[in-house]
Amino acid sequence: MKHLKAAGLGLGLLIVGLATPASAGQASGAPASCYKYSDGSGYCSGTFRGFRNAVGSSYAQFLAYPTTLLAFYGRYGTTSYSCYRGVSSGDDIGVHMVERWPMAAAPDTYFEIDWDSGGTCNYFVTGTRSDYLP
Amino acid sequence: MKSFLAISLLVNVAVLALWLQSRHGLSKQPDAVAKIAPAALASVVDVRVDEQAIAERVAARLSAESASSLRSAPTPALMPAPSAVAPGEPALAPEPAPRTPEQLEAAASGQLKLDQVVMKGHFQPQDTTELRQLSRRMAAEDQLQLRRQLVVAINSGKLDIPDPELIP
Repeated sequence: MKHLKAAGLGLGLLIVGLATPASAGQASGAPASCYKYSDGSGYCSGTFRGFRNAVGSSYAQFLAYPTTLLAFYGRYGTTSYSCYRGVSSGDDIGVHMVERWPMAAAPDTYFEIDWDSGGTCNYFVTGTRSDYLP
Repeated sequence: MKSFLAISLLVNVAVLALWLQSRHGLSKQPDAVAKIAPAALASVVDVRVDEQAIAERVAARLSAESASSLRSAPTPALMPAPSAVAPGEPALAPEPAPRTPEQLEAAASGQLKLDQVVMKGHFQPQDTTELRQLSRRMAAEDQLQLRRQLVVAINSGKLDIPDPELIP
């Protein structure tokens, strides 16, 4: 009888364990990643929620300084990443970034920010996906 | 219906025969082609001569028109002196306004502070506070340069910012 109770308890715990997601507390599909190439260029992509819940002290930050200076600072795991861009008239990519920079602040909006070997942000895209929602 | 088909067949045969005859005829008369060629060439030469004459007449007319336009057009304003930039090269960017003494001092101090931070490999809260204050007093171009150096230091692994609060 004792064995049956123990087996039943074990089976119950197993069922509960399987029902609980392994990544409890993290939104389903919330991505976050950064990569750096050997020449210093690289990219970060994901959502704010993804970076918040990612490993280590990960974060993503978009800053807009006076005189149209944009800067991105990110950290994934134990590595920091960054890029900047001084925007002037005629800089179509920069103007695009200025207009869409705030969109990345939404927790479940996907963003990708790329930079060249000199640290200049040269690509920025934002979007939404249904599977990024919590 | 049958008569229609027969007629159409006859017509097709006749057309085919004429076509074959024409090809056969041309191939059997190469001399005729050779006789035609010089005449054709001569006509081409004549056309070329005509074109040359036409070009000369057009050039003469254009020069006459430009001379008359020069006489009638108002005197153009003096063109600015040519710059040192060679043709095809982008124009030189306008020089930034001269820095004030405060801006110069802020740029120098900010550079020194950033170098110290990079040597350490990380920011401390007082470093961040100081660099933020200095950058606000810098000229825009110097702020940009400071950010560039900061970004390069981060991406090259020389500087780590584990806490976003420490970002200047």
